[in-house]
Amino acid sequence: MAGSSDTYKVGLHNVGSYQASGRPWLKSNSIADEEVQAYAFPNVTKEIHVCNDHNAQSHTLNVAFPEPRMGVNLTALVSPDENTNFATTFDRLSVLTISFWFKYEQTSSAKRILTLSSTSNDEVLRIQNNGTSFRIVATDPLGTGSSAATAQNTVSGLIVVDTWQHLTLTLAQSAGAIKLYVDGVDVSPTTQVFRDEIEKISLGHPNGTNFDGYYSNAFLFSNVLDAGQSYALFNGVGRDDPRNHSSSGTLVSWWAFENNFYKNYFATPDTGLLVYDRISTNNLILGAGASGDLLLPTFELGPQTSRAFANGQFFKLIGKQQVDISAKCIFMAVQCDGGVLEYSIFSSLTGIPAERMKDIGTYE
Amino acid sequence: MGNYRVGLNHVGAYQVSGTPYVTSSAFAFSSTDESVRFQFPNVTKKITFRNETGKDLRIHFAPYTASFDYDNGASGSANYFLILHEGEEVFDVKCKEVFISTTHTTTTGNLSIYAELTNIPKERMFSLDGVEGVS
Repeated sequence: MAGSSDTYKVGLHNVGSYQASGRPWLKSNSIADEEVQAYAFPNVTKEIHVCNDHNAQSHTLNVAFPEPRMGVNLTALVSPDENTNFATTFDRLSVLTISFWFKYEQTSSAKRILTLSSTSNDEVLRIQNNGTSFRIVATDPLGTGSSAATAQNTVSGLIVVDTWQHLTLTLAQSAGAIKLYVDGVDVSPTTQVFRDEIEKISLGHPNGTNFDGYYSNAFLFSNVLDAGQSYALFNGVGRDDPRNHSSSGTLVSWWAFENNFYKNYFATPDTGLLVYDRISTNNLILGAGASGDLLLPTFELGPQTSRAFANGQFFKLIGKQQVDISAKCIFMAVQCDGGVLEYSIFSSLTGIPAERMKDIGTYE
Repeated sequence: MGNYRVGLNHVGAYQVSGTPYVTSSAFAFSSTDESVRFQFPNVTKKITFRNETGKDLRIHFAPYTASFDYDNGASGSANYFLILHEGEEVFDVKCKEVFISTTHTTTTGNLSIYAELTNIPKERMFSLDGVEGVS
C-alpha cells in the first residue's frame, strides 16, 4: 500500500461523498467597489453559502463561477531597470493579425507593449503607451531602410489602469495599412506607415524599459481580420480558444499563458521562462533584454474572471442577502458593486481532492 | 467493541436522521479575541446557529486565536463566518466542536445552537487544526 494513498482517494462521481456531511471551509473578507476576489477550494465542494454582510442594499456582492484561466504578471520585474520580454520568431509574414489581452498597472511613463521586427531583426513597428493613449511608431515607414521613425497617437483614454483589455493589430504590407482595435473598437491611426515583412514578435521591449503589467491569450494569424472577426477575438466565438474562430484556418500561433494552476487546460503547462505555442512551434522565450536580470514573472488570473461579471454571468446579493448554492466546484469569484462591503463564505467540502476536477472542461 | 462503531465516512450515518443537541447559552465576551467553545458528543451532520445578541458573531471551527490546544487560529486567514445580529445560519458540516467569538467587546446575550448528531464517535473526527479554510 506504500505510495498508493492517491490511487485510493474517491473520484468525482462517488455519490457517498456528496451524501455525507462535508468538512468546513470558511472565509470572511472585505472587498472594495469594482474589485474581484477569487477563491480556490482544496477539495470539491458540495455546498457553498455566501452572505453579503453589508447593511445597505446598494452595496451588492456578485457571485460567479468563471473559468479560472491565467495570464502572466510582469509587474514585479520592472524595477529598477528590468527589460524582460517574451519573444519568438516565425516564418515571415507580409500580412498578419496579432491580438492579446493586457492590463496596465500604471500609465505615468511610456512603456512598450509590443515590438515587431523584420527578417533582418530590425525593429519595424512598436506600440507603447503615451499616457492613456497608444502610440504606434514605425521605424522605417517607407520600407527604404531609412530609420526616420514616424509616430502616431490613437485616441486618449483608451487605456484603463488595473483593467483587463484587449488589443488587435492588423498589418498589410502591400497597402501599408494598419488597423488597431482596442476592446473590439477600431481606433486606427489615419496615416498608413507600414512597409516591411515581419519575422519576430516581442511582447515588451527587446532591449529597453518594458510594459508594466499583464499579458494573456495572445494569437497570431497570417491574414488581416476584418472588423467583425477582430471583435470576435474580444467578445465572440474563438476569444478563448482561437481554433473555434472563423479565421482559424489562418491561425499561426496561440500563446495562452496558462500554467494549469487551477485546471489542467494543456498537457504541458507554460512556465515563466517558456510559453508554448499551442498551434505550432513558435514558443515565446523569456529574455532579459539588454541590461536587465532574468527574473521569472508570476502567473495570475486572466481576463476571463472579470469578464464573467462584465457579461452578467453572476448571482447578485444586495446588502444582507445570502444564498445557498449546492454545486460541485473548485473555484469561485466575487465582485463588489456599489461600495465597499464585508462578506462571509461557508463551504461544505467533500473528501474528493480538487485535482479530480482539474481535467473537466479543458482544452486538451 | 469500539472497533465495530461506524467510521467517519459511513454514508448511512449522515442519511438517517440524527439525534438532537440543543443549547441556548448566555455569554459575555471580554475581548474580540476571546473564543467560546461548544463540544459535541458525536460527529455532527448539520448545525443551526441563531444569534440572539444585538451584535454580529463569528462562527469558526478553530479558536479565533491559537488556544484550546490548537496551534493555529481562525483569525490568521479570516476563516470565519459572520452571523449578523438576530440572524440564523445552517451549516451542513461534520465536526466535533465549534467556536464563537464577537466583533464587539460589549457583546452579551444568547446564542442558540441546534445540531443534528450522527452516531459516529467524536474520536473518529480528524483535527481541523491547520486545515485550509479553517485555521
